[in-house]
Order: sequence, then structure tokens, then C-alpha cells
Amino acid sequence: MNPEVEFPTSYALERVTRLFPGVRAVDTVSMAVRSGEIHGVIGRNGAGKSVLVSMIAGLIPPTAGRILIGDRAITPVNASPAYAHDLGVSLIPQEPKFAPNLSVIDNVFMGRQPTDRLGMVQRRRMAEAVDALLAEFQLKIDPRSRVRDLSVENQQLLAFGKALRIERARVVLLDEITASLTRERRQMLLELLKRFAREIDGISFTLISHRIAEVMEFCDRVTVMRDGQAVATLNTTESSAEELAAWIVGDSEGVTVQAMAAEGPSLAKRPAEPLVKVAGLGVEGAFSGLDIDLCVGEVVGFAGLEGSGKDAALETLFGLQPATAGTIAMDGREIRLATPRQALDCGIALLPKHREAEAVVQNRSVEENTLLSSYHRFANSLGLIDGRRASAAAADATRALKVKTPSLGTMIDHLSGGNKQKVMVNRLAMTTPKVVLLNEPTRGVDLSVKPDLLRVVRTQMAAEAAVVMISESEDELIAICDRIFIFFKGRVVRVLERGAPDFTVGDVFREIQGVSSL
Amino acid sequence: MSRKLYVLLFLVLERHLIWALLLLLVIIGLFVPGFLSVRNFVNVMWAAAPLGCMVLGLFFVMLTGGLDLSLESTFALAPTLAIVWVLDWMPDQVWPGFAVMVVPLIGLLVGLINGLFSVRLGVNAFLVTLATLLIMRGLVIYLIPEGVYYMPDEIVFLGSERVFGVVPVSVIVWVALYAVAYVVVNHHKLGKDIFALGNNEEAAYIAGVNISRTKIACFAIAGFVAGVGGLLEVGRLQSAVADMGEGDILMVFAGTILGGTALTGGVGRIGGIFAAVLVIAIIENLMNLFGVEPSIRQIVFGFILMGAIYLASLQGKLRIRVEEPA
Repeated sequence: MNPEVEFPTSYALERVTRLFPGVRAVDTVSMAVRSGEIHGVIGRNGAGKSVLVSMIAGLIPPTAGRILIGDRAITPVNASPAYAHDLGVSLIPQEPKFAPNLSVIDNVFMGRQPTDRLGMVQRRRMAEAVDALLAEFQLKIDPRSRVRDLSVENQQLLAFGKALRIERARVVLLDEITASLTRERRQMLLELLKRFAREIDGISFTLISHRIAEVMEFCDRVTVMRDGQAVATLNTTESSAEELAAWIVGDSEGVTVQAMAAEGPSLAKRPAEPLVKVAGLGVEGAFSGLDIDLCVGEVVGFAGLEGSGKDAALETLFGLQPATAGTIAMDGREIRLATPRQALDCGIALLPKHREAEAVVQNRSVEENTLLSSYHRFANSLGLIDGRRASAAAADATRALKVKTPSLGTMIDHLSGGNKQKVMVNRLAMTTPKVVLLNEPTRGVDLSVKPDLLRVVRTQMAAEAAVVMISESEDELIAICDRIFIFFKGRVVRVLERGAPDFTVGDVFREIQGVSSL
Repeated sequence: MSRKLYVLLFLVLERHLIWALLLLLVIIGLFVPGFLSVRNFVNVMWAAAPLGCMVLGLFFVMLTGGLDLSLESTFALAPTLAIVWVLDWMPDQVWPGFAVMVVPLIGLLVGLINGLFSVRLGVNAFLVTLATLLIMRGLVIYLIPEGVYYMPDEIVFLGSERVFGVVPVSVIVWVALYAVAYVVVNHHKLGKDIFALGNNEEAAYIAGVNISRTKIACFAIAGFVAGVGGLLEVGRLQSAVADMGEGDILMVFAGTILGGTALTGGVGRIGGIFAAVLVIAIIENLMNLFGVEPSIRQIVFGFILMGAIYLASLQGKLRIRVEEPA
């Protein structure tokens, strides 16, 4: 069965499938990771990486297939985190789950403190073990300090050390661990991984990432996931960033949301004077030198990896982060944005990225959520709201976007993700903005609703405003944007324009990853 | 139980638990001699008015997710300052009726100070209002250690007079305050902002709500109505004493929470706290009529409160059970 019999296998997936309602998140994946190997799993958002890893860690049972580890297997029947743990699997998540108020020592030994015959905890033994651990991972932290005071990267390394030295894991899964590391730390981690892979018998590391550069740097082999399938496994030494990018993107050129741009307003006649003129905008430590002109009728995309500055740029345009350099001018006049209220008063509206945390007002009605940003339009000089007029406006908007809700008075909590998002879009539209900033408008939205939302952005919002949109999906950007600004390490490195030959999903993806400079 | 009945029961309990409790108490009252009389009813309402004012104040602050311990001291300090001003500092120079108008403004000022400290400086409201609770109580004791027992009619008017010889002015003031508050909470922009930030501060901020101004406004409103409450109390007792309202804050919290206001903010109704204030007043009244000894009244009240809280906790579970099969 196993084509790589000459190598001892650390773990292997045999035709593993995981179904979610309406989606094949992981589709009959077979792969084998060798002992002593650093193996990458790469793919775009939604390619199925996290589901795959969660299944190996026992967090999600597979629908079919099995995962062989040693002479035992995780199957749809017996899958559980405890069982995977017994088999030596350890997942280091992006945000390690520690008890924030307990010390480093107590967290490392939580639930497995060494005790003497009387059941007393042997603090000295614990302290010695932790000291050795911290030294090995070059962590300059006090073992008595509380975990909440550690940076995320230190917490990740601590979790890694714990998995390796205390839990003695043999199948180590690292989820985007390198994203927040500094260059030196990354180098150190790489050397550690290589040493452990060599020294510890039967161990394997699996690195989940959506950054090509990291995978090329760290891994011996890499498995590419696309649409739930493992489409290729490559030797990094015999491959290139270009080849990897090609496998990741595939030839699926945005079949789902193609050619929507044709439906909206066309910008053939670009006005001489732009609505918004941004010059040299920057926030220290996040992004710098952003120049951009925005006109009513166009959709501009911001694309980039996490930490590339695209989110910070969008938030600065809304006054959520104060700019440390540059200017924003609207209709020829410079404007200062210190709070969202000021931005809204200037006609700038934002759809935030994290819907539940930053947009939805829980426990309140659909109507109130729709009107929250625009109540002053329905209030008299005393602040009393004309309830009838306000309700009518909310009802119109709700009907126009086909929000599925029993009534306007229904609590928003009862709506599905897609319908909540429509309410948020309505809240934004009710302010009649001239500039619309959208941070991942289709995030957490049912597949069937996504095209509707994008169509609204393209045909309705762009008709009356300049739209700036961030999306993790290159397909969406290509489908509705006129221009796409590529952010890489805090700067706009390229602008792709509709109509040009390089205005493709593949090019956007390669530029985001910085493939050309690898 | 059939599902329909279950849902109906759920709706009653979910929205109107406190009213159900109120009804229960009244039914019990029917069997108690002396309960069902206009005089007794008027007395219950009259005694409830000052507490009702403070509960309304805490209601506003709690909707924003904050709390204000100092309300009981504001309740005492606001009328005390006005009385001392009129009687001692500037005797015969100020029309006493003017002092009446100043009382709520003193409360408002105190509330503003609480709000500014806790919101602008980012200090926990518990600590800020604990400090002002002590400071203001100290001031009252310093200003009127012996109490004041003779006061101009203008000052006691609101708390002691009756319209047509039946309805106490104090009750009218109380109900009017709740009516205005109802409009503010449900039909005013401020109310929308309060609920938005109480449920999700981050979202409210991004949606353009002025977070600090709204929070400070709630503290100011709380001080204002606590001041009015103090005025009603002074009038009802026709005197001002140094320990006026001392310890009442616990009952204020009981009333606010019993009325369905969430400690975490963002959830609460005017009708709920109105009924809760009545419930507290009727319990006390029934204990009076039963002749429960003052020494064990607190015990009885504590048990009743615990039962009510248990019932309130059932609401959440009930909601889950009803929604799941749907």
C-alpha cells in the first residue's frame, strides 16, 4: 500500500474524508509523513488545512478513512483528543491554551506534576526541568512569571517545548507557528526543528502554513491542499516557489464569482479630480507610504498576508488607528480622522472584519442593528427618534437585501451568519457613505450568500461610493475589483489593474506571497 | 405538558417573571387583613418612591456595564447640601423653593464626577464610587451630625403633600421619572447608544457611538435621580438625618437585578425595575402587616431574594429548552 516503504513512516492518512453540511472540507486525502521529517501542509484559506490537522489531533473525527500512527489508527469511531494524545500527537495552535494567571512552571506541568510518596509536589524537580527547557529554546523568561505576561511567540515556543520535552510527543503539528516570529527566532526554531528531527527517534514535524516562503525555508517535503484535496507532494529542494504557487492556485480561475465587474458601473470616464486622495499615509510599525486615489464608482482591493499592513491601512482610513505620517484629503480638503464618528461624519463607513466582536450588537433587534449608525438622521433636535420613519427605512433596507428574518423586531442573535452580515451591510449603507471600507465582507457567510453580497458591493455600493475591500479570497478580488493593491511587509509593492494580462488569481496570489523576490 | 402551553408559560416567565412575582405577592396579600385598602396601597407606593429613584439611577449605569455604589450617599448629600445652604449658610436670602431645584443638579454634578473619574481615567467604577460613597457620607455626617428636623414647606412639599388629599406628590414624581426614562431608553438616541455599548462596546464604537460621553451621561442621570429620591425621602420623613439611605445601596442592587437588569450590561427594561421596586415594597409591607419582628426581617427578605434569583436563573434555561426543538 505505502509507496514509500524505504522510509519509516511517522504517520499516514488513508483516504481521509471530512464532510460538513454542503462542503467536502477534506476529500479522500492520502499522505504519509516520514519519521525525522519536517513536512509542510500548504494551501489557501479554505483549502482544508486546518480541518485536516484537527483530525490528526483528534479534535474532529473523520467522516471516512483512517489515520495510522505506529500500529494503531484514528478512525471515525474512536477519534478523540485524548486518544490522539495517547498516540503521541501534539498540536501547537496559533494561540496556545495556557492558564494565563498561572506561572510558566505550573502551566508546563499542569496535570502531571511530579510528586513524592506523600503526594507532595516536587517543586525543585519541576523548576529544574523548566530551566532546562527554557535554556534549550533560548527563552529568556522567568519561570515564575505568569503566562499572560509572555508574548504570543514566547507562548508558542513554550507550548512547543512542553509538547516535545514534557509530553514527549512524536507527531508534532505546528499551526502557523512562524507567523509572529522575528527573523532570529525563526532561524533558531529552524535549527531546533532540524536537530530534533535528527536526534529524537521516530519524531516528525508537520508545519501548517499559507506562506510559501516559510514552507520553502523550513520543510523537507510539502503537501499542497486545494479544495479539500491533497493535489501534490513536492520535495522542496527539487521545487521552486513558482511551482508551489502554481500547484496551490491550480487552474481554477474564479469559477464561482466570475465577471461580476461587468454588472456594475464602469469607470471608463475617470473623473479628473478623485474623491479621496491619500498621500504618504503610514502607521509606524504597520505600513508606510500609502498613496491612493479613490473615485466613486470603483472597487479597489487590498490584498496581502496577515501582518502585511492591509488591515492597518483600512483601519487608518476609518480613524481606528491614528496615522503617524501622510495625509487624507476628501474633495480637495484635508481631513483628520481620530475616531470612527469623525470618519462617519465625513461619509466614510467601515464593515469590520470580526462580525460578532466588532459589529453585531447582541440581544438587540434587527431594526436597531440596522439603524445604529444612522439614528441621528431620524431624531429631532431633542434627540427623540421618529420611530415610524426609522422603522420604515429599516424595513426598506431589509427587504432590498432580502435579509431572512421573521420580523424587524427579531433579535439579531437568531439570524444566520450571512443574514447578520446583510444587516451589517445595511447599517453601513444607511449612513449613505461616500467611501465604503469592507474588511472581508464574505467572512463566515454561507457559500450561497457570498455571490449576493459581492453583487451588492459591485452594483449598489460602488454606484454611489468609492469602495475599498479586503478579501482573503483572490477569486473575490479578481471578480469585482477594478484595481488591486498588493501589500507586502508594510508597503504596496504592486497595483494590478483590470484588463491587464496579469490581472489573474494566480498573479495576485504570487504577488501576495512575494514569490518573485524569493 | 403540551408544547404550546410550555411556550406560553415561557413567554410569561421570560418577559414578565417579575410581574408574575408581583401578582403572587398581591394574591398572598388578599388574605392578609389590612393589605387591601387604599390607605395601605398609598403607603406602599409612598415608601417605595425614594428607592425607586435610586433603582432607576443604577439601572442606567448598569445598562452600560458599570455600577455606582455611591448612589445612597448622593441620595443623602444632595438634599443635605441644599438644606444647609438655605438654612445655615444664607438664611433668609434664598427662596427655599430654589433649593429644591438645586438638589437634582447637585446629584447630577456628583454623577458627572463619578463618570469622569471612572470613564476618562479608566479607573474601575467600583473603586471610584466606593470612594465617593465614603466621602459624601462623611460630608453629610459633618454637615448635619444631629440631623435637621424643621424645614421650610417648600423643601418637604414634594415628599409630603398629596394631590386631592389622596395621591402623594412623591408617587407622581416617581412615576413621572419612570415615564420619562421609558421614553429615553426606548425612543431616544441616548437609549439606543446605551444598549448598543452595553451589549458590545467595540461594535458600538465602530458604529459611531460616543462611548465615553454616553457612559458619563448615564452616571450623571443616576446622580440626578438619586438626588430627586433624596428629596422625596426628606419630605416623607419631614427631616434629614445623617444616616439617611445608609445601607440602602444593597436593596437598590437587589431591585435592579430582580427587575431583570443584567450585571454585564445591555439588558434591562423600565417595566421590570418598576415592578421589582413594587415587589420589594410589598414584601416589606406584608412583613409589617404580619408583624414580623424587625430582627428577622432581613432573614426573610434574603430568602425571598434567593428564591427570586433562582427563578430568574430558570429563565435562561427555559429559553434554551424552548428554542432547541425549533
